[in-house]
Amino acid sequence: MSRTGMILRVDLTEGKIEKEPTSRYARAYIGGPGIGSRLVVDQVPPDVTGTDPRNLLTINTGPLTGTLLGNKCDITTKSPKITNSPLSTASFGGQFASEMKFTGHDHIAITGKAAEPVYLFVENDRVEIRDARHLWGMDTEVVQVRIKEELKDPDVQVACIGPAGENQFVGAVILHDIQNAASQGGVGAVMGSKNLKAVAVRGTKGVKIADPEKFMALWNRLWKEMTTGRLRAYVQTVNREQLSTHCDEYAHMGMAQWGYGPDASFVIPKLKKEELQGEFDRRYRVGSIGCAFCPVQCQGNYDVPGVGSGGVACFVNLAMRFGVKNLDTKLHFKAAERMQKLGADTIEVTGIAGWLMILYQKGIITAADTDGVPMEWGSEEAIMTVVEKVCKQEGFGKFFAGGIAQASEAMANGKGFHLAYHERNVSVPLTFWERGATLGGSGGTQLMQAATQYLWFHPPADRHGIYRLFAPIFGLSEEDTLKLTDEWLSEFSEKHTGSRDAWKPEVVEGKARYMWATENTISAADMAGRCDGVTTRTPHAGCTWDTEDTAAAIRAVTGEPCTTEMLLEAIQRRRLLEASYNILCERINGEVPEIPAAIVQGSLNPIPDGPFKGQEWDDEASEQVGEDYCELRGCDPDTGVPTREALEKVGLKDLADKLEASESDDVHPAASTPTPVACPM
Amino acid sequence: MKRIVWDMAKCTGCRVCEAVCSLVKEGEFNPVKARGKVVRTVERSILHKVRVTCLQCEEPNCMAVCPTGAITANEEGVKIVNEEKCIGCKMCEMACPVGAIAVCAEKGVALKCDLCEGLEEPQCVKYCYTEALQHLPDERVGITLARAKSEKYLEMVTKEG
Repeated sequence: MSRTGMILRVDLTEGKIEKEPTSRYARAYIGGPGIGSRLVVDQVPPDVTGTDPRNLLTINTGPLTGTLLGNKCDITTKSPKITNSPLSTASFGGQFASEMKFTGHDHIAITGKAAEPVYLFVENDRVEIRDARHLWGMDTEVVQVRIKEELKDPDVQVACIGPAGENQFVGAVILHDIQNAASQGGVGAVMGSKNLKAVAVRGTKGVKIADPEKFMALWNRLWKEMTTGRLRAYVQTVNREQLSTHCDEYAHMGMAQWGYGPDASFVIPKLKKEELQGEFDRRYRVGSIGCAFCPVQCQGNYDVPGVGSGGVACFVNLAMRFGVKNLDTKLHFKAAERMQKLGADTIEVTGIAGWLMILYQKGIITAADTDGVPMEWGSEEAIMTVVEKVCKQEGFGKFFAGGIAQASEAMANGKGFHLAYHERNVSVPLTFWERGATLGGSGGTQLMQAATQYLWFHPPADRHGIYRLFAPIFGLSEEDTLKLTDEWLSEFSEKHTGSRDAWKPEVVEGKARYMWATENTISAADMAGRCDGVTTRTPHAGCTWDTEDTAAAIRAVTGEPCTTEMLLEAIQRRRLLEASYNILCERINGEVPEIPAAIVQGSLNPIPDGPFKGQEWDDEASEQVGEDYCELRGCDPDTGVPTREALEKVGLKDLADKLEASESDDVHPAASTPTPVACPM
Repeated sequence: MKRIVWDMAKCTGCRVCEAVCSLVKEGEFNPVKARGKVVRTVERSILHKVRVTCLQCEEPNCMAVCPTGAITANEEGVKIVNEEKCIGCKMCEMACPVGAIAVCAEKGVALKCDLCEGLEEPQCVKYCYTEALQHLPDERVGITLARAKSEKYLEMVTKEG
């Protein structure tokens, strides 16, 4: 059996609908954002910005999507938010990814701009561009209900934008169901720029399995680990204790150590019981939500009288806390729930709120700058005002249309520029950056982000946090649990680097290879349409599912001879394709700015307290690891540019030629004709 | 006989049961062909779910209305569709009081749960992570459900605030 799915191409300017078989790209790029990136690179010239009608919005499932081993899809497009408009990938799942796969379409690639608001409806082979003028302006909850009513089918699955996306706010998300959001890179603004309110899918085709026995063997292994094996603590933790007292302590500790950005003077108020996350969860949780066919169901569903109802994951709350210095979980929920309805990224908006509050404390802005609302630390009025005005692009919210970098130049005559806490215009929550002062926590988080330039990299969870939740489930002391989870890290480390210590924050030797292996396991999952949640992205959570397992699952589902080596080569191809294209974007659109001062100063160095106490950011070591990584990927260690040899080895001669041409003169490279890559496999 | 019992409070609505069912029965992942379905409804951003599958009625309407005698009860009392005899008339669909039997458009025959006849236990029960699904003898069904509901009640009355 081979792939039978199609790529659906929609041109909203022309109202044209075309289809081509996925199999053209499947061997070289597997699926998911691998194929999505190739589609964008083939069609969109590097100088095109995210909200240009010529930008291509791709929704990508993978070979495992719709099965028990995969439930995600990714949005890959040119980012309207990240400086220089590079490729950006944001994933979500819910019920949408599998439903889309069941229509028989693996990928949906949308270009152009509709004259009036529309939505796309795909029901098996039937594709319709439908009028959405009456839906424009609706929030993400209401519009999903209306579309289901209008199509007379409650099992239609909808991915949509809210007012934030319609207004092309670069912090806009694409939202599905209750709280499944594709947020990174500001993909909601791309939909808004195309006058595309929603994509609705309904499919009954199913995914045939080439080798059910092999598939069940893989599933049974994972099942055993999740129910009685080493993964059981992790699954039970995310399933049942998403918001827990642990998160409160974690947030508390984080704030105590790192403060917010350049302002470390904040004094933490005493935590009140009714404000705690654990207490909130106990009182208001009505159920779990998550993706189709996944036993983990990693998000909580809450109903809070007088406030609202919706879904939330703990990460949101952490981001909120760090940004705005208010510990009341109910308030975080209120703001997060409102952002979901308006269709905006909680991390981006809280970053903006936090920045405004710093400016207010420092006297750089007054209430007059924020439409009369004083930006006091943690003020409910201030937070909710920021949410409404930024998402709806009203009043001072208009400053933030293009993101925090632009606003920091425009607002208050640029006096708050040095305090803006972002990387390439992406607000950075401290949950990412707290590890910045070390060699990168458990997996070299910061190094991965800096060296690999992968802004979508979800950092490995901190080893020091998670074991405490595991201890009671394993029936071990906290100390013994930490030893156990460290042993798992050493196992993974040894397997890929030959050294048991490469994962450790202070170790340089083998670190690049460790990062390379982690990147591979994430990329393999993405390309296969599988969530990276239960993979060796987090070995210390007990995950053993590695790149070779994803390859085995692809073989079982498709019957294709996808060996681990072939998958690794496809990952390398995707990595170099994206890196080359992003370099072309930079050369045409401008240089990547340095990491802003606020971020460097914000990471207290050395770390004053906590499990990483005393660790310092080491410039020399980080440079070494970066160079080692470049060597592994076949890039120039000084510039990070992929070498011609490395590109040609994976069939990317076209990109090598373009890079060379853009180096020799300043001629804009034209978009290539969409030809599939000659796959050497 | 034994039946499948569903505990609403424990169910997360993950739909693993649907996926497992269609894989075991049809070698593919396809909710349309799953014998048991999770009906999801989202209202005010709150997920409600009901799992629908054959409850193995004592006096099954589907059996009574089947014009070709394609539905019969086996030794254990499990109602089974003989796909050879089924003509796809859809009478059973209309007669079933819970919506647990449906004619598959692709195959042209009625599909319903047979409690995984021939296997050790129904596979949806085997792979239910929260144990919301249980495979129980008739005499234990009543007390099991009573227990599940009383737990919810206890939680409600003891909850603070």
